Amino acid sequence: MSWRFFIGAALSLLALSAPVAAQTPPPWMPCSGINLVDQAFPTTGPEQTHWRLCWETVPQQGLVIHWAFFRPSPNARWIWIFWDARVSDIFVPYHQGSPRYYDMSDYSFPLTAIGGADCPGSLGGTPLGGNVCKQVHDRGLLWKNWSQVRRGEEVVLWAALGAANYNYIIEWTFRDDGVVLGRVGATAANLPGLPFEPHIHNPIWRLDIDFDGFWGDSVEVGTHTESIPVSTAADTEPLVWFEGGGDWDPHAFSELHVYDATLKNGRGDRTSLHLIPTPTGGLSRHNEEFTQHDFWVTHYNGFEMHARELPNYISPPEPVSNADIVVWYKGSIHHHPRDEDGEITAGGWWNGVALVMWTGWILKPNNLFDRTPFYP
Amino acid sequence: MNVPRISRPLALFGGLSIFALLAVAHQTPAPPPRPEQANPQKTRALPLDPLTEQEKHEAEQVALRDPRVQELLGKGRRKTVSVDLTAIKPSQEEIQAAAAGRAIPMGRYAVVVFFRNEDEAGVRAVVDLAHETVTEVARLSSEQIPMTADDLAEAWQFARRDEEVRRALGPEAERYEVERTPPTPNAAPLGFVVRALRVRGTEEKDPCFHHRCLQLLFARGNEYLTQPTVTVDVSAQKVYVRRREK
Repeated sequence: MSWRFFIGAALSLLALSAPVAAQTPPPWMPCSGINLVDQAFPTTGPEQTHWRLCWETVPQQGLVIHWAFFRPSPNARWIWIFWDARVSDIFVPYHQGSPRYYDMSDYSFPLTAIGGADCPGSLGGTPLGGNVCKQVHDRGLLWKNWSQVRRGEEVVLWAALGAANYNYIIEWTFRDDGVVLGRVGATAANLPGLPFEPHIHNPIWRLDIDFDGFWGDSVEVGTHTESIPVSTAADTEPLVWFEGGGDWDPHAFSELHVYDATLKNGRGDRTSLHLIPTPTGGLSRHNEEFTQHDFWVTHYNGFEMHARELPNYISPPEPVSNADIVVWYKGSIHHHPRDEDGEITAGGWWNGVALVMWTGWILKPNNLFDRTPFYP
Repeated sequence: MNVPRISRPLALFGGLSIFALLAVAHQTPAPPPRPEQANPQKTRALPLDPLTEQEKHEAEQVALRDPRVQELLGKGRRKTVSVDLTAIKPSQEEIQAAAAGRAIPMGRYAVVVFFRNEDEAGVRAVVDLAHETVTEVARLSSEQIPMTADDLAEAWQFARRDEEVRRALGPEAERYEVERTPPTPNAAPLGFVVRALRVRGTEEKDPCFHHRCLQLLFARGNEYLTQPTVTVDVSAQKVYVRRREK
């Protein structure tokens, strides 16, 4: 073999290996086996983005996410997103005033079993541990620009809480562009004693966002204002200084912006995560104080897990600027029973199920990438 | 083409150096070492791996040996409500090390919740599994303690003796049983199942105000009995049966 061939082969191999050598090492994770999700995107071809996270099933709390990291490019460093993300409770008041159920905190409901029919392999599904489904699949268009187009992908984890007559689908989606979606879906049988009584399912999420680590996080309220009758508009971002609750206004496009004291992208712009409600129909208010706001911001306390205690958690209000913060969001599913939910059969038995009704939010990165992701 | 000439020994040296570099570049990063633990024999799992049944049992025993827990629990009847994994945030430096791929000495902890029947209060204990110590103890009110399948079994024992409940369930009354584990996928639904929702009284005159009450739901296959509404006050051991007007 000629030495020229030898050097040529070596240089070729070096060129091929360059992207691998440039990758930042994965973060150490405190979980293993099926509880560790390590998902690079795209699923075929050279890696561009990457998620690494832990999950756990907890009686009473359903499917919980621990330690979620995202890497926006192979040679970028890993950015910490969540320390812990969970549905804290699902509050269900009926229109006539009672009953008023707390479907997560009041009873240790189990998760339902999940099999191939719930989580088909042909659709990218893998049942994990008997009651969790992981799905990796196409998610539709990521962007389109005339003749150019790119489809996106995502990894979804979901489980179903078996809350007596109801099943609640708890779903966490991690997209290739760094977006996270949280959704809860209500399904199964209407309350047997009151199958036609309208009610509202209010899932309340507790999101312990530790953006690039738990220190130095702050929250702003993104607010849009139209100066009617003048034709101008303005967007402002007032800082949340102390613990408290806030309201979603659809005309103001209200959202929470979580940012870290030092994290900036390669262009020197401040990076943030925008928590944006995606309600289906609306967001409810009830007599209970904790339901009288859509957003809450609290200082981290590992034992403050219960949504209905929120008014106590913020009394007296602690500073939450440049701190270790937790963000809470309450969604609502207004369930006005319909014939499609089921019927009462001979002997007074309820037969039928309500089709899945959803509510949720998205957590969208802002200035995390230096340029359009997945764009040539 | 005028290619600059390189001496053969230099080329060989260069080639080997490149291969050495390539070998380093291609090496799969060795899995990070697991964090140091005080008792690796007992805590081989990573800090956030699910608790094993053995670990749950150990956490419960460690908590019960703690004098603070013993004092709060008293000597009367009690039960264990839950044993769950919990995590305590490491320091800023440790978090940065983990993000950079280095193992950190993160502990493995369980939260054990007990219920004491005497006054329906509870105790929460945080157990450091590696050191077999209790790091924190707190008293819980009855309302902070979830009800469980054990409470349901107790409630059903009261309800199944109630004449009106038996009449409502008909000849199948004895066939109902409490569902301890959810049915497996594609399995036929259990024949006759009792499920429950916890109900709270909203006014002082309500018997369930500050009492631990369960509303029982009766399922026959995939169907639920719509009438009557059966509520069991587990605290007072009373059964309330109510029929709604149409």
